[in-house]
Amino acid sequence: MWKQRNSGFTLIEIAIVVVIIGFLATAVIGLQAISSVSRHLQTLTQSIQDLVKCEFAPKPEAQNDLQQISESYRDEVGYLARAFLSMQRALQSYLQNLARTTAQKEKIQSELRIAHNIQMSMVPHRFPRPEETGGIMLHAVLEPAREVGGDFYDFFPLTSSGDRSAAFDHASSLPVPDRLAFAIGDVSGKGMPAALFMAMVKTLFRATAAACSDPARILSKLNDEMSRDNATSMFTTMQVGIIDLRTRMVTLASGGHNYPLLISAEGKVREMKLQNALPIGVYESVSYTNQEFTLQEGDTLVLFTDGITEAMNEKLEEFSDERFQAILEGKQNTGLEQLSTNVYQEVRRYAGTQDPSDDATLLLIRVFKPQQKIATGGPTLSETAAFGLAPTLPQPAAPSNSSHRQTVEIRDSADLKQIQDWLDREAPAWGLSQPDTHDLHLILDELIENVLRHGYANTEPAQIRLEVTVAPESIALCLRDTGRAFNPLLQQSPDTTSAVATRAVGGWGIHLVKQYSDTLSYERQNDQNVVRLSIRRRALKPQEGVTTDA
Amino acid sequence: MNLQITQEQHGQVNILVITGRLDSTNSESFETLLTNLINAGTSQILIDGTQMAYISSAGLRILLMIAKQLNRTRGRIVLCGLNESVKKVFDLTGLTGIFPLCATREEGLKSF
Repeated sequence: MWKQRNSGFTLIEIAIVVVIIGFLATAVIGLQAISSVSRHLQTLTQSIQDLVKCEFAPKPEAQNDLQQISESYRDEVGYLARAFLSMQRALQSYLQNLARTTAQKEKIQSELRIAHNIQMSMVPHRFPRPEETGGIMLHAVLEPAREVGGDFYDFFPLTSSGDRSAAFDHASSLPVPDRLAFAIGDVSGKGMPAALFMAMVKTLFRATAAACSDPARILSKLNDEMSRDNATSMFTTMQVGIIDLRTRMVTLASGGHNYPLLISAEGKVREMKLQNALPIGVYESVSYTNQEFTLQEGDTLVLFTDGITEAMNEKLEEFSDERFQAILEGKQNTGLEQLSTNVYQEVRRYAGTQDPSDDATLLLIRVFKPQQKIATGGPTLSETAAFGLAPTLPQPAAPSNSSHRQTVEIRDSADLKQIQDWLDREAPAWGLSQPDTHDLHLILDELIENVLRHGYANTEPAQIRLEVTVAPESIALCLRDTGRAFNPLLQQSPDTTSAVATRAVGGWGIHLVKQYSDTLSYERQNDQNVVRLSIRRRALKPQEGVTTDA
Repeated sequence: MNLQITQEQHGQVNILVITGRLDSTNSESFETLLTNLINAGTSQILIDGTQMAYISSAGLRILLMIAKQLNRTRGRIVLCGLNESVKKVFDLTGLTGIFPLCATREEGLKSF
């Protein structure tokens, strides 16, 4: 029976058993294969998660596993492991680099912050009260364009007992001063090189002024010292003044610095045209000239650096002397600190998002006027004009304007002759006087020279289009070229490494253009550089003409 | 108006009469001329600018370079007879302080 049953089920049983065993075996083998693959994938997944957690540093044990997988599998899993390992190595080296660079940058930043503090502590911040100076009030602000800069100002009391100088902080232990020395300066270039030069000049100034109280001689001594062995060919413009605290007479000498302004007790602003000699550090044995004037009660002397007037807005237009003077107009009773704040606020508002391109410094000196009254209103525009200030806006075009156009291709400086000849030929017909023609020649020369050098790097012919508009009182000039974008107005800080001779050319050329122009602007328009300027026509003086037929 | 330079000798002084424009189109030849003069031992130069119509920054650069060289050898460069327009360029660049400017050639010669 058993045997029968046994034998009766044998085939089915065997079949079932075989199928089951086969199925199980397949399942086991399959599962093993899957679990082997998924274990490796898990290792990889875990490594990726660890990668983020451990800031891309590999865990040693995971690293070994991955190494093993990448070496022993020639399939996709092995490939993935190899790719992963190489990514990890790349990330690590990138991170190490980043960490190194960041550390270096932080170090430089922190050093610059310290340098900023040192530089700021080099200029006096305590301003004397009127009673300490016999009625003279002072205020100054220095704003470097970067952490450190090349602008500086200084002031300190001088006593007749041997001209010992000291800061006002220690004035109490000294006899009452009878004079006050002050200075303002603007070193060429900016940033760290300018700051180092500034520190040198500023220190030398104190030492020199302590031994000699003659502004022109101070400048001259400073200049000789700074010009000698001036390997970097840096220089600084500078004004030095001494004010007699009893008579309020100011003796001022200037080395290439912009003219100071004077706000009169009535609130009118005028520029003080001084005789200017070369900046400090350019050339030895320059003689500087003392100029004297007396401040009246309520007068404010305004010394400043061009970082204020040449601050640019987004369109790269300058803040301008006119805007600066307009702020000062009628501010004879505004406190000096408030007035400084107003100026810097206006400059910042004008500049908008444009980063400051230069350091900006302001030094205000006022003679205290007892019972100063609050001004009821500023002077009218006509009063301003009558006082000899340039009108803020160019003259409106008169009906008798005439426009003249010329397009030229210029390969090198020699081709400038085309333009010079054109101008010589046409100028008499336009009714231009000799001096006007001279000025126009000079401006065109310098601008085109500049275009050749910077817009085309003296390598290819320049396409230049000129338009001269002659109005009764002024001449407008528009110069377009197709060269590389180059804004000549930004050329105010020449590079500081080349020799003085080569560097000064660019500086002088554009400097001259600026000096001759009433208005000057630059824009990049349709891939062209466009410089527009206007010059005021000079009154013709019979003795001034030169003969053209040479 | 091309640049013309005529040389005259007056005692130790080399007089250069400049006619026309001194600018970037001809500053190189001006530089060569002056350098040759200095190399030949000249140390006293009088630039007669009575007929000089104009000077650009390229011309100023050469003058400053020469002044520097002469300064080292105790030589001198003096300018005379500049017209108002040219003198203004010297004033605006602050170079008036470096170069003695005389009204006439006679004054210029006396200044040596």
